[in-house]
Amino acid sequence: MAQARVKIAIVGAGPGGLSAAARAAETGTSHVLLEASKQLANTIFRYQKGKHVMAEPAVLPLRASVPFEAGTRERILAGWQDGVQRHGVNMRYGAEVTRIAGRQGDFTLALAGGDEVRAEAVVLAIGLQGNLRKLEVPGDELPYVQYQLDDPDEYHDETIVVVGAGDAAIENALALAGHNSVIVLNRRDEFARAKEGNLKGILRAIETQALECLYGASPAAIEALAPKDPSGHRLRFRIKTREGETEVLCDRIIGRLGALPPRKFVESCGIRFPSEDLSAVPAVSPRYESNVPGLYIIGALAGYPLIKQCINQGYEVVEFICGREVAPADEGLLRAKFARIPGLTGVDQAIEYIGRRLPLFAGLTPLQLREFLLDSEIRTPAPGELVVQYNDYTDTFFSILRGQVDIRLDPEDPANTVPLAAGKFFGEMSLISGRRRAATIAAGRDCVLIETPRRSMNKLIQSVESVRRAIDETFLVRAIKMQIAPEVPEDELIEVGHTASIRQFAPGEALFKEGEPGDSLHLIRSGSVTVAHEVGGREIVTAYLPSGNYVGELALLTDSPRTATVRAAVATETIRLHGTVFKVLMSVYPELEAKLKEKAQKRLRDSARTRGGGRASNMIEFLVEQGVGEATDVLLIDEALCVHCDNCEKACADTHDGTSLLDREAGPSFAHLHVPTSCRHCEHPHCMKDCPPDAIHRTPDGEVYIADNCIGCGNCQQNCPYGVIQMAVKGSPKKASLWQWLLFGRGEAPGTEVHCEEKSLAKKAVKCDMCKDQRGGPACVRACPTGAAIRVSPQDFMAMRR
Amino acid sequence: MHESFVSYRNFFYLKLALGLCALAILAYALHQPVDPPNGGTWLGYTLGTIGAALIGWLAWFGVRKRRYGGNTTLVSAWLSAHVYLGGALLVVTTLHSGFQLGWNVHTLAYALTWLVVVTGFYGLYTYVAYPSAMTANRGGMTREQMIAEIAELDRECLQLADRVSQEAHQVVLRSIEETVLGGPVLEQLFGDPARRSASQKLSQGLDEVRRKIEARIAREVPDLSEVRDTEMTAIGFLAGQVMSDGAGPERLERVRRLFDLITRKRALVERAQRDIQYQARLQCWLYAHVPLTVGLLVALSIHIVSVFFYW
Repeated sequence: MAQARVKIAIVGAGPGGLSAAARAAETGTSHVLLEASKQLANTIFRYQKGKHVMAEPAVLPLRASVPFEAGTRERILAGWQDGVQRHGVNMRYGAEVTRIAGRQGDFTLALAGGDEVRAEAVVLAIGLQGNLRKLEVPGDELPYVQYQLDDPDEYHDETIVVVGAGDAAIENALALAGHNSVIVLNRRDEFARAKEGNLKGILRAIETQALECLYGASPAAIEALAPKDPSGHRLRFRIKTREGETEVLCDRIIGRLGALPPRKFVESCGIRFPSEDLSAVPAVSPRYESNVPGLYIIGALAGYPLIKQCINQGYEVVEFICGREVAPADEGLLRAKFARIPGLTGVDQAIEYIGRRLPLFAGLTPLQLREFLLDSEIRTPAPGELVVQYNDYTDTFFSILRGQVDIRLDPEDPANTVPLAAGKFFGEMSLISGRRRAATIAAGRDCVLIETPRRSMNKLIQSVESVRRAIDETFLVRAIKMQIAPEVPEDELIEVGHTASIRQFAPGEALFKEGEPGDSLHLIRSGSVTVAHEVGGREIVTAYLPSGNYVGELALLTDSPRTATVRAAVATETIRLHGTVFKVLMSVYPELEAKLKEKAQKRLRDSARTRGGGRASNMIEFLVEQGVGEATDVLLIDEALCVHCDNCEKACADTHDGTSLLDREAGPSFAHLHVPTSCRHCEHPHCMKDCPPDAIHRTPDGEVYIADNCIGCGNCQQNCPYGVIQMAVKGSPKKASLWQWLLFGRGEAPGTEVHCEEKSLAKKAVKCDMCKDQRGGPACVRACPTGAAIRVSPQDFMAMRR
Repeated sequence: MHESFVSYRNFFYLKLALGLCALAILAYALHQPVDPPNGGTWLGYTLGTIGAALIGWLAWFGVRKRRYGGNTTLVSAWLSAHVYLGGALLVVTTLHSGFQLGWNVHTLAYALTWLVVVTGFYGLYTYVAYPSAMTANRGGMTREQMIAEIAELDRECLQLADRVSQEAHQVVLRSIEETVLGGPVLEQLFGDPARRSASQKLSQGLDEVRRKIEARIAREVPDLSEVRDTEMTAIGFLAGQVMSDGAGPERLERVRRLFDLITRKRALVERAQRDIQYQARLQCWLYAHVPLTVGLLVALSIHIVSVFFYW
């Protein structure tokens, strides 16, 4: 039976569909929301219980008739349910659309079961999750073969094969491995697509035999076993491996192979796909209209997978269909930002202008530029205002849109400057090396700057090749000028820069070895290296050099083979300068040669001293082995002074809500020097790598800390190679009174580890923040009664030991 | 870069304390009171006030070191001052007394001052002497690791003994049950003399037996009667038995490995015991130092109040 025609039929009640329906209901537009399953937002409904759902991109404002902000799955679903009811959405569950026919103004949607719905316009908001990729082998639809996992705790003592190597497969496998015997089937030889935290998790699980992994294996066929099979299992899984076919008897097979656009159905509606690629999505107009007039596509099927984008598009598409103009949701934000640039009207004009004025971003599409500017801040500092300060640990990136800035060559002398003009950029040094700012930079007249956070800049560098290349080239020239040849004009260095190359070295890998011909000079751009000499068949480390230094000058100056072996202490990048080009430069600028010679001689003297020392050299080696090579500040305990009183731990617990963030006894020692388990505030903090709410930051003084918007996902804890991050309830437990305890023995002694009992609070990541909010510096160091504990920069410490 | 509390700021507080002592001695030497020197002269009162202030401030250290937040000074600087000014207290209070001692509360306060300072100096000795010794003894292991390894060695010993003979299993089991770490305070501090001598004898015996087993494996026939005669532990006796009953090379090899394990375990137990001993010694003096300080504060209060009654 055909119903009366509605204005808009919305297919799929995911975030996009329900948002569209809510907007239609709110504006009194006749509509129907068709959902094949029995509930709203089926995909999110099937997330595991209590899962934290992100609201990315954070800066994008929400424009919708239903609420949405980051929170637990339950809260979000309840909010949507409530919104749909409040607006009186015309909802039909269990309504699977099998065919869409007709044209603009008169579409007919056929439902499974024979019903039909007629509409003037159709919004396809079906996403991809309704079309999960199957194993595509005989038996892939048998009972106990599934493509989703709602609650891993439902299964106990089963043998389960998880097929797939993505994040979903790994997360499922790890969750199941607690109570089941799990085998992971990976088509490839590694887990290349996985997030770093998941990758570490699965590799550790394989190593500790918590689960088994078959690499280079793919499914061949699945057969059901007889109900009372003597093996006690339910399925026989035939698997193709490189060695031939094998089989596994199991109880359950879970395929996690991702989802694909439901191409057949979409094409049957007359919609065209731009390519034959299985993962291709149909092209839509800026108003989300497909090539079929009146048929709109929003959300993941249109290539926008984020929940917030879907919700906004649901709202916008209804406005478009009803003939109302809406600007994109980020328009207001951008307009407010651009208001700071005098003489510009309109967002599109400003974006076009910025793209034109900054050659670095010439290769970006307007959409990429838009996203980039949304993350950035426009700054108009007063003339003379300091934009970055020498030795600070800030790591943002600046582009000069108008005016100029003055780089202070000598941090002490404000008059000694060189200008940097509009169209150029700065801040790339700290971004790449992770070290302190190399210079103080002050604003000039009429200066307009774009300041971009590290995370957005790194994303851009990784995704846009032209940006990466431009930044690398500039970094190269500036680094050479700053560290080696300040007297050479930048233009001449550009030539040198062209012959230079960026080299990457794994920890322990040699940049060059003693005795090799010396044909180049390495400028360390990130990471650090050790310099070693061969003595009695053994490499004796004589020096440690962090980024900003250069190595290999001696062989160039004397035309002799390498006198030392230089190895990367941690993952390191260097700029390799070609020897012949450099020699030409030295012949033109004799002062450059003189300076290099002077430095080389000093190094020779130093290394001779260390080589005789033995112990200092072993100390450097030990510290480098402990990963101190990437630390900016490390807690070191002198065991000749430590009386094991644990006052450091007590002080830490007392000043950090009852949780000690350091473990004094754990960690290695060498010749009375102990490196306890405590944060080292790495140059490129591993913990920052995959923080969904971007909660880990660095203060200008260098402390890496976790802000309150931590969601407790635990990624940083997994990513930290030094085990210094813990998960704890961040409440303020009631502190016992010192006098009560001292005089009457009431309550816990000060510094006792106490944990907040508040059940309603979720666990968050906690780590050493160097007591940045305390007067007087780290409490552990202040509380040590014997002077055994110090916090130092490893560079200073090793320099002192030489 | 590490700066010990002993040499803090180039012995600044030592110099300060010595200066204070020199000043007090000089004043005492120049002072010519009508009566013999005593606490009642102007110098006596001055020294007494300085002494009382010092005692109050020294005792405050117990509070300061437990106040972890909101300080900008180092506890190690406080400890440095605490040690040296505490030493100076002996000079100040002695001069304050004018060497007039008797059986009264005033002399009690004076005596308690000495006891507190002496226990403190013992503490200083432990803080200087033991940390290095403790580190050397641990050899890079934590105490938990030592105990875990002892347990692991015990397990291996039992497994191996099981394959030697029923008797061996019994003997090893008994030895495991008799292994004691820690114990009462005095044992922690000084060790149990009886156990120490038994342990020494056992170590010697073990060495001897092992040598003989090795000789036997190398087909140099040892004097078995000597093994049997040696006044030795059950394990040694057992070894003798195994060898004398013409055991095959496999069994002999097992016994040799068992002895290796037992020797390693013994060494580790001794190290763990020494570790406990060091730790106990680093802490024990505080159990005298702190209560004596409390006693001193009480006696000092009575001393001050009663002195005012003389007026």
